[in-house]
Amino acid sequence: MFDNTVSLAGSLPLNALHKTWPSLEVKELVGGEICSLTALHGGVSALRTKFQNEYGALLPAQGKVVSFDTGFLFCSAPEQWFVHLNIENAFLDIELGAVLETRAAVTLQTDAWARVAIIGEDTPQVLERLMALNLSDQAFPMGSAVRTLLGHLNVFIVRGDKASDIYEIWCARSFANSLAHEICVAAENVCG
Amino acid sequence: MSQTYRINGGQIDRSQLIDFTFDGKRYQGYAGDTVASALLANGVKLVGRSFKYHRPRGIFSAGSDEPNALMTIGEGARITPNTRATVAEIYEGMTVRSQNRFPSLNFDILAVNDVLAPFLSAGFYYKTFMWPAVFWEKLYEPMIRRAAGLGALSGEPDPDQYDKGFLHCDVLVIGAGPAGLMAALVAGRAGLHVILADEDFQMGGRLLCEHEQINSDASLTWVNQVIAELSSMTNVRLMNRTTVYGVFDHGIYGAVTRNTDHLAVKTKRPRETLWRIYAKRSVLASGATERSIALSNNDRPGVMLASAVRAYANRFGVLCGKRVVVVSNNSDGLRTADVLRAAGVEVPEVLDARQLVMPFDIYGKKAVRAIKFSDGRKVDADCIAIAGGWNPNIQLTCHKRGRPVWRDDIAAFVPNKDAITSEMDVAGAANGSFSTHQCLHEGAQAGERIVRALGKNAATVDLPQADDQPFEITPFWEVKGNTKRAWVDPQNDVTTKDIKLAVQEGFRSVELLKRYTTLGMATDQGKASNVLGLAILADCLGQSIPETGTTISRPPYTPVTISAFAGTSRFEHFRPVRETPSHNWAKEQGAVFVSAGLWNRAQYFPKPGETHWRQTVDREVIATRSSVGICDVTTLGKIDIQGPDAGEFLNRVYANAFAKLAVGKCRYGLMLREDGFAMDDGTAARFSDTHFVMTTTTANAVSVYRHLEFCRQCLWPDMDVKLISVTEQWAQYAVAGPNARKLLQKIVDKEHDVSNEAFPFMACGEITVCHGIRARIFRLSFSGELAYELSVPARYGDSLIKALVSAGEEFDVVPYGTEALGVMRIEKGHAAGNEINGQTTAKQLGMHKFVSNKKDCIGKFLSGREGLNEEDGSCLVGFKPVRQTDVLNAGAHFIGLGELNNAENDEGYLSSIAYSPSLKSYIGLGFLKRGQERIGQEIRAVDLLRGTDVQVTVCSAHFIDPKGERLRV
Repeated sequence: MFDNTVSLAGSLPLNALHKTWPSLEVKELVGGEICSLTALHGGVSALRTKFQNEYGALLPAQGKVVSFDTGFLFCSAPEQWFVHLNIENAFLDIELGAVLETRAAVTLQTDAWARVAIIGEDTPQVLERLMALNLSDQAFPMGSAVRTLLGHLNVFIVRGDKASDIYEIWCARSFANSLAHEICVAAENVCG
Repeated sequence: MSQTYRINGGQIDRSQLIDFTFDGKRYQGYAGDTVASALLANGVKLVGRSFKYHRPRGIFSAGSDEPNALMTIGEGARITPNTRATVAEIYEGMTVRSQNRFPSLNFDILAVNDVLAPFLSAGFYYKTFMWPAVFWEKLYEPMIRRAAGLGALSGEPDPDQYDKGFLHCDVLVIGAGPAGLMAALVAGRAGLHVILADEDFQMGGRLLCEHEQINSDASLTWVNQVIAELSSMTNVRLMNRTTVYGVFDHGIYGAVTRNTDHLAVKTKRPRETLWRIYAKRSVLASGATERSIALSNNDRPGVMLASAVRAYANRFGVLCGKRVVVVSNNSDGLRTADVLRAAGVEVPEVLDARQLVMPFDIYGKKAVRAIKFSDGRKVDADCIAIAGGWNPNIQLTCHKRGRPVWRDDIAAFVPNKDAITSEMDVAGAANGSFSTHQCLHEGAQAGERIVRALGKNAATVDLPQADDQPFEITPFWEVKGNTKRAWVDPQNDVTTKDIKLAVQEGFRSVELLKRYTTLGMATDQGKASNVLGLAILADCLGQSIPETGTTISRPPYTPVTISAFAGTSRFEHFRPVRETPSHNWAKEQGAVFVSAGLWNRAQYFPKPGETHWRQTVDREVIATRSSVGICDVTTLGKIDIQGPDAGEFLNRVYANAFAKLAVGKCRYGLMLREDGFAMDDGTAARFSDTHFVMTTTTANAVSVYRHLEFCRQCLWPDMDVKLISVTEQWAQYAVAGPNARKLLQKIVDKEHDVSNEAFPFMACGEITVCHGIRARIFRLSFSGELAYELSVPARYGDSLIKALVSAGEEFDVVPYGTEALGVMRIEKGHAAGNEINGQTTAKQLGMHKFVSNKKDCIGKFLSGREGLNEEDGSCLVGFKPVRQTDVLNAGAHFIGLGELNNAENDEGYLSSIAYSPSLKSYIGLGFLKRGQERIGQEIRAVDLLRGTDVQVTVCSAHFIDPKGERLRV
């Protein structure tokens, strides 16, 4: 029987996946909203200034991550950034667009991504089985982000610039189960 | 039998006694033994049968070059054939079996081949099985294939896991002998990221096999010190049991690590890991392989390489015989006699083959009994140790076409420094430098060169003091004058006679010789035989070895398990799968899924009692057309297009006009390729002056997005427009049927009016549903019914479809899948992937009026080509069978009534067919020459592949509601 008083419940791409091994933890990251920002009118510097005024953070260079009080952002492509804010608001793109006025094309992306964190000592050993990218501290220090392949999956790898060193893997939502499978098999092969 | 050939010393762990079986018989060895060393310790001489003649064979070498001792190891599904006993570590309970024999190793019926040897010379099957021709496929080839081959797979699925990985380093050192250890030490101390890989389970290379001194101490002490230091460095990764099998472009090396083959209890860990190693530089320190001398019956069990005899004594504490004759043509081979005598072995003769007296023949069938010399003497012996010189292991220098060069002083090929990849240094024996001192020196030099090249300062590393005796050799390849066969390649049963025969028959090139005789093929890839073979070829041709040339190696250096290449890409890992947010809901409804690209899409939703898929699809179609149905269309490509120039951008990428599309409206769009053919179709919805959302077909979502980015970035970089895919962001559902609006009105929040007046056909808008949930609504129809597409952020997709189904209960709502979707679009006459297939034009699709005359667009110019606009060109029309019960087949070709079925009479083809439950008949869409002019005519749909010939009537492609009235109510 249809209950027209009930709203819709949100679901996570991986149903809050959380698995642990002795030196490794794999968990789905939940919460927050993500929007893409792209400068319009060729106005990268205008957008940079506006964003800094509003959020106190500089738009980072290609491959870099910057954290600020209410979230973080990274450069996802030339003149394109993904900003993650610690709020729940499915209208964020509209509100952020208003804040940034006409300086940016803003698009909601929260639901487009499954986000998985890999944490622990064995993280490098697991990641080296999943992707060709050089993730050593020298090549990919904290505060780095890059788009690459994990197995056959197109992903972002985001290594935050905060003290807690975790690797976030962002993968298109429809591939979430394939992502989890890839990571968990690699984790089992290394840590199991 | 209990290790009667075991002596003191070696690097085995005598505290760990290990039981294993060989051909069902129990033996014992120690941890640190290989199968070969353990069998030799137990006095086992006969370990295999040769490939062609099934001659008894024994262990020949002590490394990965072993041609004879190929074993089947393991049990059940874990059987691994063709494993070289010389590199397989023993473990408790190991099962080892010999191969290529029937019924037993000791008595092999096919040994009769040896008697028939005169008929089985090189290329015999090319010559022998010529007649009668029909026998080849039915008899000869199956018979030869049955007789050929060595070990066999279990035939069961591989139970093990395999893994892949990627490593990065400044320098990859290949081989952990004296040169490799020294190079790694220098590079490691300089702070470079070093990977040191060695195929052996123990690092040290040849130093493990010799009793030498380094810095006045046992060489092993130095080895252990260096390994300990390297292990303590965080910038150095030591990888034993790891074979670097290939060198590829851009500093990429292939390697495979054997993780569990040596373990008695197979863990869940991957059996092997295949590595792709990215290295800025590399040092090849792969050592050298000793070669034999061709003399009569030199393949008998007990005939071995002298260095192997030494290795078994020094490294494994095993004697290969108790009365050993040494035959050598170089200074190194003579050291074997010293080692054996020191171990208490009787060495009745040490024959320097450079002298007048030569070995002439070897006696003994299943084990060596004696050797006869050219002066007529016959000496009893149970082992013949032959030292024919050393071949540097240069294979990896050849993988990028680095053809090696010949050095007369060592009678061997060495890497051509001008031809090998610039990122690679070669050091030590692999470079033709055989003394330990030279190896250490060259390793240190290579390390220093790389350290400097990579901009670091080389730390001071004192060069250890070590043996520096020069290597002296007088090339001696073959004992002539004996009519008996002398083996060149024991693995492939290639003898000197085969080589001479090949030359006689005109196969004078070394490449042809290899393929005609099979010299240097199979698991050892010529490590034991190539140089010897081409020396004999050169002698036959009366020219030098450099003039004769050499084959060059390709990857892999040693055999690599096929499963290792597959890695984790098996079963569900073979490819990723895409699922929509309501996938689990569809699964719960019993949906049958179809793979569409990577998407798993619900194809149809069978109900209890439905025994055929078409019953289900018919029900879904009828229910949708009579009331309402819901279809998950999340998989459609969705592209967010923003910016002041967004309208103009769409104007240029679509054939039809978009710049003046009103806000709040959608429009169907046809996209052309540059060549004027149709590329994709879809819709674009305008949410503001500067914001559009484009939809594409599921199949072309990526290619359209890529095309748009190409246009934006390369063709019109001045346009102020931005794109991003939102396919994943929004879950989208089609709600179609006469009751679609009534259903939606229960879901859509009251402040949004979706009545026909307020929200007409082709309207779009931002709304909220279910008490404030953000949504977008598009009044579009693929089915031809009153329909809407409703999208919500993907997080709400699952609960939205549940809410829609629940709200639709009073209308008997049905979920429908891609099959019903396909039926309804054919009934409506909508082109889809079968029609917009990359080979059709707007004109053929009946959409030539879409190509606007008022503006330019991608593909417009070339769509005007004469060939694409012929008057008698084919165009899209509908087809119905004349007899209502006839079945149509997609792909059938149209042939005129009474005409022959040939290409000349071919007038087009059926692109899509479906059974229409609405019309109770099969219907089809297809391309027919002058189709629009032939409405009402009859023609035949002929499918020669399926053997059908159906008379059809040409009709409008719009079978249902041709005026489009249902859409607009």
